[in-house]
Amino acid sequence: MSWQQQILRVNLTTGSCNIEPLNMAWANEYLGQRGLGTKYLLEEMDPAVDSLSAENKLIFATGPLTGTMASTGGRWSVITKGPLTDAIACSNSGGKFGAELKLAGYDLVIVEGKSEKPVYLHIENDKVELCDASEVWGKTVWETEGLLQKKYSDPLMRFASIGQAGEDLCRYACIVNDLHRAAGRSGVGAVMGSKNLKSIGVRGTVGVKSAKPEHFMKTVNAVNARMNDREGMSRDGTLDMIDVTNSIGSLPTRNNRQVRFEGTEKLNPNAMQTPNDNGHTNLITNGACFGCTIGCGRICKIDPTHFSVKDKPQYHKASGGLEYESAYALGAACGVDDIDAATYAGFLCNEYGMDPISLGGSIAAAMELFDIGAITKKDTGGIKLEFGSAQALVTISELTARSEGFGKDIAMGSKRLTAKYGYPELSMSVKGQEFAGYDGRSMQGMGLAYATNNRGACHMRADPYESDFDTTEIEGKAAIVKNSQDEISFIDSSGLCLFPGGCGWTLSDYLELVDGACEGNWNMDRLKQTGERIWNLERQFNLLAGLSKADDTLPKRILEEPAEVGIGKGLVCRLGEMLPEYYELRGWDEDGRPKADTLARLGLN
Amino acid sequence: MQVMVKVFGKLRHYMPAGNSAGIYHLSFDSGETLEQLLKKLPLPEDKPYLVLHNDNKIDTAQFSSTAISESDDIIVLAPVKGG
Repeated sequence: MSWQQQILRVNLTTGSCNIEPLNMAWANEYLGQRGLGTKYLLEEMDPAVDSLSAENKLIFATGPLTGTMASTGGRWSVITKGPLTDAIACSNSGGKFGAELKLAGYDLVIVEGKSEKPVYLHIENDKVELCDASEVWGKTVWETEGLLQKKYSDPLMRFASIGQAGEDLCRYACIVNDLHRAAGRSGVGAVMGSKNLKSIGVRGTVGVKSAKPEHFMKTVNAVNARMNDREGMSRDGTLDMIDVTNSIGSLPTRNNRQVRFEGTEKLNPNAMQTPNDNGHTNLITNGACFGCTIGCGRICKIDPTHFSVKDKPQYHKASGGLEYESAYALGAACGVDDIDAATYAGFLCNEYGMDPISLGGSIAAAMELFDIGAITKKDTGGIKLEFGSAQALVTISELTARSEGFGKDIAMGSKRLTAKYGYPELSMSVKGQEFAGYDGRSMQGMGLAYATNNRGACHMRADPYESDFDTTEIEGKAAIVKNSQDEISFIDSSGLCLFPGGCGWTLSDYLELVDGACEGNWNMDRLKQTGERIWNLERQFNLLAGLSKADDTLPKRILEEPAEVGIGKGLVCRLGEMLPEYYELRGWDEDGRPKADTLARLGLN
Repeated sequence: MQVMVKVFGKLRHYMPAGNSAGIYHLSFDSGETLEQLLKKLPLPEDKPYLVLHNDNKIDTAQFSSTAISESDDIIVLAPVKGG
């Protein structure tokens, strides 16, 4: 149990909605969420399909612990082929939508085909219907949720929706749930938009049962007591990281030209919590997802006198504020130290449905193109797209959200944008997905993690942090990256969040919860093998999609231009030395293809 | 003499309340080492931390042999992850 043992299959071409039994053999091998969603996708779809065609499938997946009493048991994922990367996309979100979907009785919702007209999906336990979405198509995420919530008069109904960015096929459009949580990366919102699916609204009351209820509840309480280092995360959120990365010289600044940003003191937790000259404080309170006992979310208000919102009272309310990644991407990456401007750009991401990391990364790349003269005000429609300009950040974010003017180019993502203007090397991305807020020169393990990640550059799919803060020497990094990728693959498939791992939990705590919730015996060997199986399954998807060893690389800047300051001073990322060892540890050949015995060992042949 | 020490990351939680910037001005005598200086902060004994001294990472074993001066840039960080 803890799996609901059923999936909902929605065919948008025919309009059919059918409930089917979950393949329990696959659930036992791939657990749930990321792993199980990828298994269904690869079994049912040719990875070579066009990501924005009707042939691509879009899977909403919960894990066995989603919707349970386990702390942070509100995670869910969207699995599809990503239009930003043309690789496997698996985007993870929190909020309350995932738990509601699970409580409605579903482990997965598989969306296939394409609707002729815009629709939304309404789920109330086993009552499922596709409804005309003409009243909400063209509306923002916030308007859509408001209108549908009003229509159903149910405050407990939860929504996952796209905004205009998804409708307009922005390559990094995301799916936003609960107003300001998002399945953010790789463009999963554009896939939803390509299918003319605006929103999923769900209400669930069937409950969730664990396999060993008494054991499970004892475990829930025991592991909660072990989450004993969470105060910092509750108080400062992930933004706490910005002083750390800036200090060691790993805060990508101005499109990775620098690794340290002089404006950090205007973006950090202290800036967020201290009244400005008008007496306005950005941070209002913290927020938590379903079942979370950490509460890392930032609920913020923009100074109503700030130029970005002074004539826009709709943005004077509190909403999801800057976290580390959005502060890095919409701040340091663009050289902008204006916390209100960055917060506003972040609000737009939630409202229109865009990934703030890729938006910031794409704007930063455009700012560098502008700086070197590759684009001019003629291209940008008169915008002086200079590094450090808060006005430019605000204006171009608005245009991108609405797919207008030069915003259409920014919506392509940095890879396509820089290629269009003849400077592909200025895209700070892997497989087309923009870097997160770490530099692969001072953090060598993170460089390897970016290069090898199945969904492109990402900071959440490996855990080289402690090692990278300890040393820039590369010995042992390949093993740390490989092993943590496998462990995180398992956690991402469980329905739990990764952050308890930084607040006191160990891998054993996750294991105990899964063992208490699920049938069968789960031990550490099984956990690690399940994670390794999921990682290799994603790799298989990518190889079949046409990716190769050539895609396991980093931009020239990270490989050839030494960092100027910090613990990585004088260093480039030594990816070429780490990658062969990584392949060997993975049981892959020198071209990065899993060997036959590796596939056999993992049951993937 | 005084030297400025910045305490960042989760370690700020262990510092005295009312200083959300994490910046401390610590008094020291001539000849004091980094080890003696850090003892003036309520750093947790059971949590790892990283020390940067003038942009160089200093291993714990070097604390007692690292001299300090007023113009030094000293940062104490907790190794954090994710974000």
